[in-house]
Amino acid sequence: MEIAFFLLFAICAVAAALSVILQKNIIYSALSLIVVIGSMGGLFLLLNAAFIAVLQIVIYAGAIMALFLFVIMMVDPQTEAGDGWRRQTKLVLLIVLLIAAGAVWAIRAVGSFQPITHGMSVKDLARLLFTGYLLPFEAITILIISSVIGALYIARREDA
Amino acid sequence: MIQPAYYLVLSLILFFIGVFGIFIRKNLLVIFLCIELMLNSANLAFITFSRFYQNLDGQLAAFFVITVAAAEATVGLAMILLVNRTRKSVEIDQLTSMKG
Repeated sequence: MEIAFFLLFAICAVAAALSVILQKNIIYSALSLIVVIGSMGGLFLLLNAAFIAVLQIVIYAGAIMALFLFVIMMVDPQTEAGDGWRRQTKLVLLIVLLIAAGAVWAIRAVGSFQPITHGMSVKDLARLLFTGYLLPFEAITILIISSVIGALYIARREDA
Repeated sequence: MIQPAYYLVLSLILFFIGVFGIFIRKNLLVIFLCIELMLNSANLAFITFSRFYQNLDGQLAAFFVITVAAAEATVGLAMILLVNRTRKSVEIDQLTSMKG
């Protein structure tokens, strides 16, 4: 049963990822990435990470991709002039496949999942976040506010 | 039974699809989408190892990766907007000079 869900989410993610890089229309690429993010959310659920799965859907698919789509529509690219692909596609594909094959071969030795004994609930996650990881949490706050201010300044209109 | 290796192989496949996409597409926005794809695959690896070692640090790492991706997307998209405004194009073949 688990295998069925894993295959469903995995095939969906890979198909949508290929669609991201192969579509001519950029809006279709962005929507395919939303499908990838949803499939990853499902995979996180399979890995007992329910909180991160929901965060992924809400933040990544809900906020980041919405921002992407707004910017895509603002930039409004015409259909790519000429061929949208760079040259040397076959050479790059060969190199990427070689590296990927090497990496796939290298990770076969990882063990197998054990039943959960340690606490992995949202309560434990929250306790860890606000005790051990409090400094990164506060630093993230500063990062977000500075990135928002920076983005507003970078993209401001210069008239008058 | 699902082994962690299955999740890791899937993470690698998605990562290398993203890498390939960066190399072959000319539009800045699609390149940015492929970067986000790579970030997602890294998140999957984090969560897999978190479940494998039953340690919540991996889930927190994924949490921070999602947040940093949000901040980075904000700034990156603002820069893409600025590039489009000044150069009238977001094709990397036409963004060849560092002036301005």
